[in-house]
Amino acid sequence: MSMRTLFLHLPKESPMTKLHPSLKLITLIIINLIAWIMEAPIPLLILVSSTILCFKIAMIPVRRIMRFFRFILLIVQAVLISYLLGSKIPGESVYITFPWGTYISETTLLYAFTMILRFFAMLFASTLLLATMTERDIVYGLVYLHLPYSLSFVVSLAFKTMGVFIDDFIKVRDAMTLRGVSFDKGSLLERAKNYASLGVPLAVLSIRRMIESSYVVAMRGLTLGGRRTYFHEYKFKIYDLLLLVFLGVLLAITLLLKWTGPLSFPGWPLRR
Amino acid sequence: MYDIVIENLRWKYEDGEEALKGVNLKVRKGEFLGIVGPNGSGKTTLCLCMTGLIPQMVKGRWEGRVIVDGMDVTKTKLRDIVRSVGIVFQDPEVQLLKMTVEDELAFPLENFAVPREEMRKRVEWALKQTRMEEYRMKHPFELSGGQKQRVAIASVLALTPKIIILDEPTSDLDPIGKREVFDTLHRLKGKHTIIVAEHETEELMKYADRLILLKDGKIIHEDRPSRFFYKIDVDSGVHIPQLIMLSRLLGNVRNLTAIRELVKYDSVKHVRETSPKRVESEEAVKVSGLKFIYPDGTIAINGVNLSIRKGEFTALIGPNGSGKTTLCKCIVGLLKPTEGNVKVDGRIGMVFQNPDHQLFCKTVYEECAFGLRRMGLAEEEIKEAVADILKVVGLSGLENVEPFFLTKDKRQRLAIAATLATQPEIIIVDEPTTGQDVRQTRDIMDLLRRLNEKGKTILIVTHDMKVVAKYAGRTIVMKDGRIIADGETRDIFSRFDVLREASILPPQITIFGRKIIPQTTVLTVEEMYELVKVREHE
Repeated sequence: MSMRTLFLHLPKESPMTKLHPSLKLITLIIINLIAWIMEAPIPLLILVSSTILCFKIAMIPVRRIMRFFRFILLIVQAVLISYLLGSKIPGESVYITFPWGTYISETTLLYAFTMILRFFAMLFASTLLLATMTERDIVYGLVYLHLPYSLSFVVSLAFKTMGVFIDDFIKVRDAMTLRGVSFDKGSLLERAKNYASLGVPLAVLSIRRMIESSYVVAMRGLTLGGRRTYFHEYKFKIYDLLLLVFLGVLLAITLLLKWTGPLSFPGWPLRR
Repeated sequence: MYDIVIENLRWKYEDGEEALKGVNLKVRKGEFLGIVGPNGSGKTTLCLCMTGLIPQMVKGRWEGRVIVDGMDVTKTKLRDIVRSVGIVFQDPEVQLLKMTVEDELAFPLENFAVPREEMRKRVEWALKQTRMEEYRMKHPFELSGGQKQRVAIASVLALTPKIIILDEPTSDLDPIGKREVFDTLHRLKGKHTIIVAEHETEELMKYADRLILLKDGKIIHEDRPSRFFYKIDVDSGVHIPQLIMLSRLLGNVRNLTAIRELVKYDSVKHVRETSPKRVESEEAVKVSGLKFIYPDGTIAINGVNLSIRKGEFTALIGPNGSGKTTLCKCIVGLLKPTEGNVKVDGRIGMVFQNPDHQLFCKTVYEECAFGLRRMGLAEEEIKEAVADILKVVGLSGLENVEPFFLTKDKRQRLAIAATLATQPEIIIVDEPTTGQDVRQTRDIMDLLRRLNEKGKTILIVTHDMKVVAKYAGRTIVMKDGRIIADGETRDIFSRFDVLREASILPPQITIFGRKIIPQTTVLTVEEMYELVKVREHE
């Protein structure tokens, strides 16, 4: 059966979509945590490769997520520029020294590569999980984690509103383009000013929608903190448990290896 | 006996005018009440007062009493009122909060802590009542406008309220959507007390037990639908159903058979056409082999060839999703065709459906001056041009007002003015009359007609067939990204099979005309009246 997640329309359900909602959230947190802890390029490369493999398991059409690549490339550029131009990481050979005192060594290159891998791991894991999560997963995931329903509701409404906001953004931008405003030409300042002028109609539309939504919410009987029941029921299955244990063990091993050294960045002794 | 009792209700918004000025109304159990009136007459305010949202969530000054299902709305908690009253709003996008139909219906039940088994039964029942069973797992984005409104109705129904209020539920919908909503209401009639505020009087009069006319915050007339439209003022700002209008013009001949008798002869030679004809001139727009595919793979336009002549007034019609707006976006250059090409001879401007997407300046003056400044005109010239444009659209004197404080019809006219400022030769207007009352519709359409008479090429995208019949010389019918018919409006409206294929219902008077004079196509009440007058004269 096909399903619509927060970002995508998936052709059919997969082991990833069938996970317990709270486990999806936990996985998202743990993978990001592990990527943040790791500093060694090889384990990070393995983590990135595993995440890419999971895209296949989750049956996510790669064509549909290609649009995120431009954004990823921007991050890669930003990371590279900041490390290449603004760092002082000692190495055996220094290739370039800049007038402002920073330099590029072979360790700089390795560290920049490692940081890019870390971003990749975090981005791929987050994309993977958000691409397999529904609004219902977020609501129930947070509820099963014993967070207040008001928080789940606000988060789910934010995702829903995002779609409407993007739609409004495109329409307002189109209308302004037809009246001679250019968002692609001119200096950076001009373009920034043009984008800023989008804010007026978008703010007015959002305020109007917010007022109407508050009426709808009130007329659906939502109150903060009141007793409520839930339409769906999720049970923690055996594979959920196995994955939870695996993630727990993985996190523990990562912490241990980071503490003992193997997951630290290999170039650090040089800095010392 | 009565589900709603309103006594001398007055309401003034905190920073606005008095919206209701002494309303008295009683609604019987199981009654279907229609509220009609021009925009700004207080219809929405009255609906909000009956739900308790006013005064509990809106600031202002309240006088009088509103009792709903035995509860005083000023003294009862909103949560308790909600168990008895449900409301469906105009905009289907805003009122759907969840990401599947099923979850949307379950949401209010969860809020009232209804046990899961009971919830399942009620969700099932509400889906059945609105015939939405097969869409239970659908995302709101995947539904049509009519289906979204049915979900909103189902969501209200799930709480099994005694009273259902609908505030202009069909304003944003295409003809299929409107029919879906009214069919749903028809099925619910008698089981609930239903109150509908609407501009769509022809549909409303079929189902309502009683109609009230609201004007300037007061109920100025109420009656059974069969009598109501014979008694209200023609200039009341309410659309009088075409057959009743004809009957009134004929001196209140209420018996349609009598009208049939009056025109029962070969009348082809007597039709005095009041609607415009197509013009023959140079090409203003030429579309060849146009195909447009969205990034998600949806084929929006599939091989369109089209030529629009200079000075033509063309209507583009078809169900939602047929590719009308995409075609317009390709013509104005907002979208790049996947295949084929578009050639435009002359400056082109487009007015969007929602004026709020288009207005972004601080004052009405600035809004009109914006395009002119971009064209490099001197400030003196701009001043003169803005004054002229504002005069044309009837907004003179409002130069220093902030656009977002204008009423919707004025914002719509300002959006047209802002587009006109750049002096386009071709003007595309997407749904110019959505949510407008009869007077506002006439004002906007007359403005477009005047521009057309001055030589502008006009292309409108609309669901309002009365507007098409009266104003457009040429009509293009689209379905599934293709043009399925293109020709003079009279010819198109004579082809009921094509209209049916595109799920379009011609104007009431055209259908009536076809029944009594099959060999001719009547487009407006005035044309039919002329026919009858000729017969009377003979």
